[in-house]
Amino acid sequence: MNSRERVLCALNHKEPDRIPLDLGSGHACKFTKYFYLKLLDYFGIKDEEELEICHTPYQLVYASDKVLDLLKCDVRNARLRPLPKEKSPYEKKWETEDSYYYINEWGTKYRKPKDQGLYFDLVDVVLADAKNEVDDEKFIWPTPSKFDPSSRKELEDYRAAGYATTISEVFGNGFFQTGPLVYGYENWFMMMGAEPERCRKFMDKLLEKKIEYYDNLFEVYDGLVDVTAEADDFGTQLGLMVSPKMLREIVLPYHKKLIEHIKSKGDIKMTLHSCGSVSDAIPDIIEAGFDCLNPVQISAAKMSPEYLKKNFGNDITFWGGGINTQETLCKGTPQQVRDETKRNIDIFAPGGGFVFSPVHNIQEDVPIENFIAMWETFQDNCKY
Amino acid sequence: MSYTELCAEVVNGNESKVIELTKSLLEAGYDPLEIMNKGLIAGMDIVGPRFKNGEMFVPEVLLSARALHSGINIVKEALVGTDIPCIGKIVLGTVKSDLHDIGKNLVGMMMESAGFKVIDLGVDVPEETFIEAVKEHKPDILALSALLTTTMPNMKSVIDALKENGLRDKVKVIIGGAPVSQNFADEIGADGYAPEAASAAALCKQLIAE
Repeated sequence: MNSRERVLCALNHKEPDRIPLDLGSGHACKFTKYFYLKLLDYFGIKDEEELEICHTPYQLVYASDKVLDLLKCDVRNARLRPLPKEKSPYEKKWETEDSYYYINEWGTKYRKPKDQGLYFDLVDVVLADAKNEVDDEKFIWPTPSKFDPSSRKELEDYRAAGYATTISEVFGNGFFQTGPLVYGYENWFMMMGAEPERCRKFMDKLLEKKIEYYDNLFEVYDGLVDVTAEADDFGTQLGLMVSPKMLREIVLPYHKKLIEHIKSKGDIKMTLHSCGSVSDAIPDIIEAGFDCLNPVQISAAKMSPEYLKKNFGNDITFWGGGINTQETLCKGTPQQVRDETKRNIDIFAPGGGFVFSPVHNIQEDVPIENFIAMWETFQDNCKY
Repeated sequence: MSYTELCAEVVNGNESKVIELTKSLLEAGYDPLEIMNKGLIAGMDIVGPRFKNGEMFVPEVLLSARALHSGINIVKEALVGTDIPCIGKIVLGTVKSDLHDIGKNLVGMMMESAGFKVIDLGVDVPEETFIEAVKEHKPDILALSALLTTTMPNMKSVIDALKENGLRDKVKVIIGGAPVSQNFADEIGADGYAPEAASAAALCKQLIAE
């Protein structure tokens, strides 16, 4: 069984020869540059690689084939090569004495403190003061990029080498979480509660743009993508941010339409990126057409591996959830990491529907010993 | 027109109705403080537990809080020159290098709705700023937020700085944020931890009663 067959088998809820492994490629399975440097150092290849950032806010990198091969990973992420396009009027980059700043094509302003700052976080938005649809019209929508046709070869090579392929970069965020990039979180949430029609109008336009984005991708990668993702955080540590009803009636119908469009392009599996406790919405997430959930935040309420596997294991693939990244991986001992990794594999693996990955991207504070303890435990226990 | 009706509209998050009813009650000669306590804040007393129990979600809570604030602002105009009672003072902020504030802002709203005066220092707040704020405002409670495992250690740095400045006994320290737990609170010597905003406000009430 090659890597691609292994991943597809698991996604079809059958047991492959061993559990597929994704470190470094899937949506929230990546390495922050800070941890990646530790990993390069561990492998003694620090001088051989130039880091390429694939996600600026979280400072995530494209992992090299060499690292992914050393880790025996089954999945490869396309390195998107957008063609030059007209610059958005919002885009800007600067620094002050204490921070780095940029504004992206959504007009979202991000800041990273120079002292100890590891991430760029949202600090301002363009429609913060928008009161009505007339104000909403002032937003200048970004144009989805087109991609360099020559980058098709990368996925052709991965396919020939037998890897499963993914595209894990999203246009904006998902339907629930792109609004906050433009209106701010609190405004968007209140709009969802009091003015759902304004939200729908925004999401109608977003759907058009997302379809254009995926069409641009498939123009280059047609027939070569196994898995892709949409990113919408629905959960908090304790439960859903909005009611299941609101998700069902306002947000998920858009996902459903987009997924139908994507799946009309080929046998492509769709992943929902959502952090937090989302088990109350998993039936609706499945109904919308999602095949996989990533992250699988087992540290949140009502998200224990047992509960998830028992209730939803037949209908959705858990892409992640291999180890708790809020506690064990960053703060536990290597032995605690081994114990938890083994326990989670034992619960998630039976019957397939599981791709091993930690809960979230590997952060700066993860000791390399813990990462290796997780990886070795996986290797020792991954055979069916 | 009654306190019950006003209270219900706060729960519904109907801002325009809350404004209208608050004004009508004032015009009809109802006591401003009673309007605030029995109408407006009483509404948030219903919202808090419903949020905690998963019967209300973030959009509904934000709408209720917005309605409440609009009502309170009208009452405050009527109370100019009078001291508005508060049950305690809280300094709140997200610790250094952490720029997240959705949770912190919800906590702040719940605290204000519970009758506290809240001084919100914002995000990415260095230890020195917390110390200066404690010296200046003399709060009953210092509330620290962090979303990131990488910034949680800065909560301990604030507690250490309070000790170095001889202020640790002057203020109760509570912590919260997605990766934060009661264990972590115990480990760093915080006085309390709450898993979500409504519990945080309840915890503050409990701490000032001690």
